[in-house]
Amino acid sequence: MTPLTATPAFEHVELAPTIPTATSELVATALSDMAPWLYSALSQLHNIERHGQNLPGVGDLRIADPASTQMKVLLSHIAITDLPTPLLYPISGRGAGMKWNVGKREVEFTIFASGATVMAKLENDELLDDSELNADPNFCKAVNSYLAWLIGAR
Amino acid sequence: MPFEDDDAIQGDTEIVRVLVNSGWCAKRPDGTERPSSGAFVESTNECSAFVLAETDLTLLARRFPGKKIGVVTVANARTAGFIVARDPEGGDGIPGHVVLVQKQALVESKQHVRLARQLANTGRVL
Repeated sequence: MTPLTATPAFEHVELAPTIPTATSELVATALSDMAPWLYSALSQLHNIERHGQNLPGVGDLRIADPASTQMKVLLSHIAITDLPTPLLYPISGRGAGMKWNVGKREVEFTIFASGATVMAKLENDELLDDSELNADPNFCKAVNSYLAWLIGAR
Repeated sequence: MPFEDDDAIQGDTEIVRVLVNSGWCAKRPDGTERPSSGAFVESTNECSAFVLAETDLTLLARRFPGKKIGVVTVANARTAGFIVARDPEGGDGIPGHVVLVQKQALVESKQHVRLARQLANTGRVL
């Protein structure tokens, strides 16, 4: 019996040439144009994930998956496009942190390895308010409220 | 075995934390540098540090080239709810290794971050 793959329907077909611009590059371009802070935040997250190490005498600076996921979820809920660039950094024990400074105001996120998140707003180094996001059903609203307050200092 | 506070370490003893990331430093309103809360928050609640008088700063500098050092006192760490426990093996060959363990607040709570910030605010940067 002739094998099915020997029929003309299975003749070799040349693949179309690869499109030179990858989707990820298009997304990066769009992000850097529309929300430069977001592009920077994702790049920094990628960097601290890539370079994270367990350092005896300091701590484990690798970023745990739940912390990384929580950071991305948090970033995706920010509705303010004209924020300044945040600073992302590892939190010892496989967490991640992020903070914004505008003048004397600061908004800081501490994401623990489990994904548990604490958000704080400070002015002149004084704590004005803080919140545990996981316990807050309106965390999206709370995050944007803190960040609106931050850029209100401009 | 759980860590226990080492009473023999006096309150005025200075302990150092290697600030491996710029996010672990902050500036005071007067422009001076201090550690940030991020330097003293620890998901596993075992924050590595070294007793300044017992460690070897040359070894630290060689292990962590170009990194700044945050300095706080044991008294301020205790006031902020941490115990200071010796952990010689944790230094990986660098003497004077201790761990700061938060006992006053639940780990991963906002109080945990507040107390880390309280300690960081007392510190200075070398």
